[in-house]
Amino acid sequence: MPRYLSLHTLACLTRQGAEQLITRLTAADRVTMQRAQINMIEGKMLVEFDSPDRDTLEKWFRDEGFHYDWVFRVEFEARGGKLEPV
Amino acid sequence: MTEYAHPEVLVTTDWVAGHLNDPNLRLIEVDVDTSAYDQGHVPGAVGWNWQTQLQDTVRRDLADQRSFGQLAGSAGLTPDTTVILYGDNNNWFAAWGFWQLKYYGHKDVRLINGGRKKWLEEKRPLTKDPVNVAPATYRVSGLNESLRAYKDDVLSVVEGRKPGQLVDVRSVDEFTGKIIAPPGMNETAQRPGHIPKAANIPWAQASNEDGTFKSLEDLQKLYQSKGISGSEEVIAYCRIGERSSHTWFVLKYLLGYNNVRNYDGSWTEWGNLIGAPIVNETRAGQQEQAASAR
Repeated sequence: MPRYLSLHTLACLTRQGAEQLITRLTAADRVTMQRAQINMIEGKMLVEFDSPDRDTLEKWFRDEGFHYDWVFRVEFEARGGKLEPV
Repeated sequence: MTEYAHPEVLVTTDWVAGHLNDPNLRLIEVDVDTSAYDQGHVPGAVGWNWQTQLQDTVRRDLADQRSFGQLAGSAGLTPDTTVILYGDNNNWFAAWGFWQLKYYGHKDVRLINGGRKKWLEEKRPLTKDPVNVAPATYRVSGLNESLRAYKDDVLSVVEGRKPGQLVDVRSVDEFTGKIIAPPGMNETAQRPGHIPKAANIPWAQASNEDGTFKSLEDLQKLYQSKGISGSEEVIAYCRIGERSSHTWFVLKYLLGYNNVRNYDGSWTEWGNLIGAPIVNETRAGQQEQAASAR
């Protein structure tokens, strides 16, 4: 399934709020959250999703009220120095 | 490195570690709730819940004098206690606690530079042990209204009836009106944007990555480059007043600006007011684009 990264601005989200957000992201039905990484000082959250397509992911964001800075489909990734298609 | 205007209000984790058993000193962990505190806190620290103990839980306001006095007394505070505050969440709520204690006239309040995050990163001891506190009688002698801004104070500055400057400490996207609240959150305002004349200086620009405050020189450059010099009264605001407490602390105690107020009503008040002037750059940009497309 295609993989996407999304960046979100946290505003004044607290750690407690982030924990609730992660619970909601984990419970998503149309898309699957793989990983989330947060910096509270930068006020940003990076999330990795599996989604059938971009439209499904963006619609899910809209339905859940999750604003986002950008969505990026991962085409290739490199681990250990070798670039491979995802 | 030049010292802050009031270096005495900021303590290091190292200093705290060496003063844990000082008499007449009370450590207080302040956060939106006590979930982090319950998992482990600095030995000897009392936990304060910003939501239920520092606020009035019926109407939107600070806890009243009587309630705050009872809270302070139950933490063993007397007017002469040295209170050391710290917390999770970037020390936002600890800074709020600092502001609130000053609002209620407490003399000696200090903030741990870097807060709970720095204490944890340095792998300093935590405990789940309850604290033995000898309750005290604490009477709030008066309110220092010079530290607090209300909507009419802000409107006076906007309309030019009173000199002053506004600092919006939210993210750029909140300031421009692109977003109103954290992702997925319903607690919001009716309208996005910012208060006219406000300078946007996100609170985090005053912090290093480890949560400590930047140097005096860096803070001076940051605020003065945006025209916030302290020559006039400054009012800081955010969404609910906790990030602006952090900036209030920076402006008043680190930079030493004389007149700095925290507008705790912040955007959740202003963005819901009937008829309050608002600048929404995102909407303005969209309208411009639509006009050029015609």
